[in-house]
Amino acid sequence: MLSRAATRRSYSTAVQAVVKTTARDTTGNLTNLTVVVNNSGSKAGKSGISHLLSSFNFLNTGAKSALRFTRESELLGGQFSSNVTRDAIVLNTSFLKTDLPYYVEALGNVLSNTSFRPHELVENVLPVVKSQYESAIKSNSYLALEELHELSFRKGLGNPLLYDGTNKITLDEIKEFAAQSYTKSNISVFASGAIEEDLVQFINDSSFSYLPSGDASSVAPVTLFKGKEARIRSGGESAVFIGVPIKPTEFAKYEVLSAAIGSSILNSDITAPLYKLAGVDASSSVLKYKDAGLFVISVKGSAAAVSTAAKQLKTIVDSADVKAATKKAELSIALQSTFESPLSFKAEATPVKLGAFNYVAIGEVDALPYADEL
Amino acid sequence: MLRGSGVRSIKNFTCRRLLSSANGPTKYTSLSNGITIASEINPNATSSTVAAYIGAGTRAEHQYNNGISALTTNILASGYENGVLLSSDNSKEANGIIAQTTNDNVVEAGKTIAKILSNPTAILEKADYGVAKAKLISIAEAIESNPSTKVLEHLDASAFQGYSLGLPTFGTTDSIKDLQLEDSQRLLEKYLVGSNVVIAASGNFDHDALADAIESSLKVQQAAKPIVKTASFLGSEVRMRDDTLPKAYVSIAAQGEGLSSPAYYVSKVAAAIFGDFDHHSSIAPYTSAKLASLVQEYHIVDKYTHFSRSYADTGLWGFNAEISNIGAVDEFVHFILKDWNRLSISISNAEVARGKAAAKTALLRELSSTNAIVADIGTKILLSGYRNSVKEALEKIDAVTTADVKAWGQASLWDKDIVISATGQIEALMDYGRNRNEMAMMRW
Repeated sequence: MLSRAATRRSYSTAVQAVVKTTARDTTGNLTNLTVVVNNSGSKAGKSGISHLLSSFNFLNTGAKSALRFTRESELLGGQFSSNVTRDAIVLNTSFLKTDLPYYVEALGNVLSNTSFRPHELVENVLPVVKSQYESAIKSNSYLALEELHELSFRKGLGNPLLYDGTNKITLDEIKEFAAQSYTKSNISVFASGAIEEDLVQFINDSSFSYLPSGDASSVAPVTLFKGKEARIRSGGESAVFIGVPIKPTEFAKYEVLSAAIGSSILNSDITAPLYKLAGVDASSSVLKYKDAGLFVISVKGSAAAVSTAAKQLKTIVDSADVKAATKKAELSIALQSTFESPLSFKAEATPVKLGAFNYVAIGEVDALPYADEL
Repeated sequence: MLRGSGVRSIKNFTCRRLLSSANGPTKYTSLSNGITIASEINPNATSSTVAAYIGAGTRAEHQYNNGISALTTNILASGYENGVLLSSDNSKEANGIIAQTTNDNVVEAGKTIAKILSNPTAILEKADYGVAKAKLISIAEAIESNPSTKVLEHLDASAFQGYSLGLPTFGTTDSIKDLQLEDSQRLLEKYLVGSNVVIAASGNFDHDALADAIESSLKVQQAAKPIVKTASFLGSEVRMRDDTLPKAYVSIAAQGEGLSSPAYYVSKVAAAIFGDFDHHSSIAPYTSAKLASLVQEYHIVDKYTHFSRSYADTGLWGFNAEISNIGAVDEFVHFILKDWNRLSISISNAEVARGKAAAKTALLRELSSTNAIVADIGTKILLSGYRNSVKEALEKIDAVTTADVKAWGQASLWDKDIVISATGQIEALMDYGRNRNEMAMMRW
């Protein structure tokens, strides 16, 4: 039975699920059940509020205490986590196939019935959020990427990914943000290793059906900014980051460019020009969001080596052989494509010049070049 | 009490409708030159991986050519050609030449692997050893500069001192410096033989087409599988005190189980019973392991993981921890070793049930990418001669009883020698004798 079902990737048709559902059955014994709450990532609301809301997930709900859920889940061997991205809050669970109804119900409770107790904000959420933020900012690469997003998008996608404590955010604001975000129209459920009809049935019988329908939030159009520069003095590794904000329609050609010069996805490709730069760790990538993207080239290492290598970047990009890299880009796209976010575009060999870009230098900035010196 | 299907699923395993099939059918083909090709077909895979695993690693090295198997594999398996991305996977007992490609291009990946295996000397002669050695040195140094990985590397080095298994996986700066082409050739002459190579593949493709492509272009010498000397575990400790680091990093282990040991899954369950803990997690106060509830109240540890790692003939079973409360290192080590004692005496049915469930999902979760699947197939077939199906593995975990766990604890942990590896601010880590004494108690 299962072997026949294995290749099926279906969308709900017979009984309509109350939220958008995508399921596929697999031959294995594990189910990965993911809830993506769109329009609620760090681009939405007050800076940092989505990180706080995400950290409230899987705490006390009206139906079950956090203690009870954690321990029941341990007994089933399941794992759960909630992460914030720039676009969405993503709740991941993985468990043995037979436990599907349990976790559907648990996720439904989290989304529709979290208690938001005042003491949890102080005791569970804030310390965790603070420790995640503090461990993230130890990395110069993280700081540089945050800055690059701010330069490229200002608001929205330019908001900090994590809560940094600058904004004072009250429990009521978090509750209100949850009420706006956790709506039927924002939520997509992905289940790998589940039978479609069963999943729809379980979802419709669970607290998912109590979610308000919501209206597809009107997203402010994204404006792209270019030609900006920032320099951050910091200990640790020196690095320069170049970022070009792009539209979703340009993902395909920038994936090819990235593959041609040295994509971080294909990081063992010693033939790539970026790989050959002496004494540094250099790669490129296309960060893909719903409404925009960011093509990033990073060069890390000692300040002197980074400085020398950075000055070659413009030539490397402008002389990239995109025709020859199409097949390479197809592999890179296949490796990045996941069940939850499949990439549907095909590699597109259009020559791209670097043009205007945003620039971040971090580390020993005294020794690093300015954008106009590249 | 659990609601819904939860309880039923724990009790009535055999009635399960969904668990009746394996992770994916694995197809095997044995070529005339002794090489096995094993493929696990996954119709949902977006890309495919074909890999050749060679039984070598540090077990094929000595201290003067330490790093040669990783260096040779890195040179053979790097770059990109015809839609195939090459990379390497080096461990202490095997080296993988990994080819990743799109599903429709898998035959090309098979041919690339066959080409590399058939004529490695041509690739090695063209390679720039200076650049490859510099890369390997930076990998070896990255392990030493991260305290957590450093502690684990030295745990092996101390436990299996005097044996090739104890050598650092990627060599050391000193040993890599002097390696040259002749060392690679000598290594391949002995270890790149039909009986010592397994080709594993995973993705969405036709196994027979892949096997045909490989068989027609693969030429590998036939010879007896090289004999690997068994390594013996030695209770010992290595302290790398460094007060400039922010925390204390401690790992302690007893001798674990080899890949073909009958207690392989029991030791996995035993490790899962103690599990992992992260103080900076919002559910840390709610986790049920007794050890976790002891340590989180007083914040005497930031993070720990338990592991049961297996090599061909031996293994290591223990924990790796990070402690920022450096005055409490002795308390933490005391509590964790005393909790290990309970495994031999008073471990409860509920704890074993929880450990079994965790071990099962962990096993399934590990096989989540095509690269992870080929590594599992390749190393298990090479090192233990067979690989059981996921179904069989789950059944074996289900068959573990509380009595089995206790018996394993009494045989493998109770009053056994331990190996200790630590770095950072470890002033409060007691001497070896004190910690060794914690492995048993006067009362039962």
